[in-house]
Amino acid sequence: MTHWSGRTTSASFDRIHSSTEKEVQDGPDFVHIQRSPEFTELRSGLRRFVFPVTLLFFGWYIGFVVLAAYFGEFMSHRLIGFVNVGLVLGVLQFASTLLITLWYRRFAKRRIDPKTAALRASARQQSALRSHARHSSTRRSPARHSSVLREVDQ
Amino acid sequence: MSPDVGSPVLNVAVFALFVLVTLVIVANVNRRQATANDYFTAGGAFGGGKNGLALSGDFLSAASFLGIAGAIAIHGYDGFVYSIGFLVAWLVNLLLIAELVRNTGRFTMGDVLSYRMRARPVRAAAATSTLVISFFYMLAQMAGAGGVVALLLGVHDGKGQAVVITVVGMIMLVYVLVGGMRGTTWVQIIKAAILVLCVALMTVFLLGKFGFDISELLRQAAANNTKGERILNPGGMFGENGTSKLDFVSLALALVLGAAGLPHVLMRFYTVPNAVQARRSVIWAVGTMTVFYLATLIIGYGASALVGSQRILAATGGENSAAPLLAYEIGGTLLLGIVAAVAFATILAVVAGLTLTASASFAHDVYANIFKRGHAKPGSEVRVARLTAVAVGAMAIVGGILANGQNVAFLVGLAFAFAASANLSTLLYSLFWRRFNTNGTLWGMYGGLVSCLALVAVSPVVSGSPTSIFPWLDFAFFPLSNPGIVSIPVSFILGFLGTVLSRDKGDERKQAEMEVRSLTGITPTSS
Repeated sequence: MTHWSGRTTSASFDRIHSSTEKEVQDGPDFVHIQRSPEFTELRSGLRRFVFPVTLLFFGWYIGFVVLAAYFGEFMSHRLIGFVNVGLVLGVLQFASTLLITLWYRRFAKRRIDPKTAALRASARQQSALRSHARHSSTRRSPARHSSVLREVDQ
Repeated sequence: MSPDVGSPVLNVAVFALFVLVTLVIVANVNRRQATANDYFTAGGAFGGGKNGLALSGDFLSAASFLGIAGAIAIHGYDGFVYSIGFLVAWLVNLLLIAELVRNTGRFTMGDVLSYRMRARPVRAAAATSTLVISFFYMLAQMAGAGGVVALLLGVHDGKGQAVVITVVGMIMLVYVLVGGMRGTTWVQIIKAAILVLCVALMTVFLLGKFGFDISELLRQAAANNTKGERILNPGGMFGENGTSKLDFVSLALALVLGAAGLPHVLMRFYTVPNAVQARRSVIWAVGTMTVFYLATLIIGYGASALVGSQRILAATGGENSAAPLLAYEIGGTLLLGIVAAVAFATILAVVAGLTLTASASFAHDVYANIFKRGHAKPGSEVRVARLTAVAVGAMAIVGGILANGQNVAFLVGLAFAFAASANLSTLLYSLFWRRFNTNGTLWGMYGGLVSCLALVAVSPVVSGSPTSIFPWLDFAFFPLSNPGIVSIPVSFILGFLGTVLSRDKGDERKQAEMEVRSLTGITPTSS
């Protein structure tokens, strides 16, 4: 199926397509997008954030659970009045959850959303171009396909 | 038995008011719902804020409210770990699941899992696990209903409770049938808002009563508990021996990994228009739930301090009555009435969400895509969903009457173990692992589901201990009551082995489409 990857120029539309390929041809070329540097950058950027952070909070949570299960004495150590280590660590779990949520929100707004918006815009442009190329050869109006991706909103 | 507290008439009146108001809203917001899109996902038209509240509404079940408060009041610290697990679990949804699922599917979990696989077997597996998990979760909620009824309405005999469970089940069905997803979502929003407001006010009041001195609250909680200061330390529930400690870790694992595999939570990512709104939903949900679960800690210890463990255990409803008794202690009959109504509304709304999810999965995955191969007549999918909802509702009523009296928090823990074992591994593989294929999906889902079921069957839950379902039999050889620590890794390993041992390389073009679509929201025009 690799022949799909390079199909970006209008020249390749000269080929005769089977009916299933025609269906796809209307939409964006996903294999091409997947291999584009913009997309790989988006993907690796996202994964470089979510995978380590997942490991971080998961490890911290499991560590907390193991402490509560097997190190009761340490958790029962009193800090201020009747407030002990276990209670403080438990409340810190809440705090870390909130912090990670806000951290991800900031990250996604700055590093993810602009990239996905750009990718969507270029995909929209690509399919408009291709449908224009195809439809002008069959003498049909390209207007019908110009709003091809309108259901994907910001 | 201590005498009943509060006034059943007032409790019923507040609850009836809630039902009336929500029914009017449900009937009014849902003038048009002929299409499947409307019925299953409210047209994807909810904003992140509202949907986030609805997510919390779906997630904060009777187990969260009555169960955790009771567990903390009686057993102390170990109950708090439920709160932490339920909350931290949302990070899995936020970071790995919500946005990608929103971009990839339309109505059900099966949409995502079958995207680049052979659709029919994968959808069958997804529908099976959705139905099993929803049923277990529902059973937990309905089982709690009986206890709540006894406590709040003063109905003590089994027949009377069965009648009330039936009435609750039928109101729930009306929400689902008349309201569809839009109506159900509004019920969740209203319920979540009242619930969080209610616990927040109780917490502030409690803290004020102790001069905003947590240490003083803890001191009195310990003083009025038969376990004394041990309730401030870990081990009150699970600290007995090595097996029970491992059981604790197993439960904690199921809690944190289960939320991302619950079908009714996953379905709620489709009621928003796009991935950014799905992310906002989860952020809002994390916010409300942080408030809620922190409040359960104060309410739990507060109930021990002001009501005392002996009075809680002596009341009808036992542990589950801690929060209502505390409400009565600090706010009299009126606050008890409100808390009672909120508890009822919680059960009602969560069961409605579950029924909708189960029926959507049957109608969309099984009927429209397996039987009709994606060519169901317009409208027939919704009709099938409504019929399924009636069947599921009837099962919930019967199951609730039979399971009446079972331990609520424990049943919920089991449902989470099922969700984490059957769904999480395959969802993550299918979103992040290029090589993953149909065979791996089937091995992972059925492997997780079957190992979970089998381990529960041979655990002390079913036989061999005084608290078992069949206490007079003994065929238990798996010592843990929560199977998560075994069945979750099993499903990850089987999903991996099933993939690498099969020669199926998958559909490269579909994989590209799914990956691009899940991250960017770019859709093929043909859909």
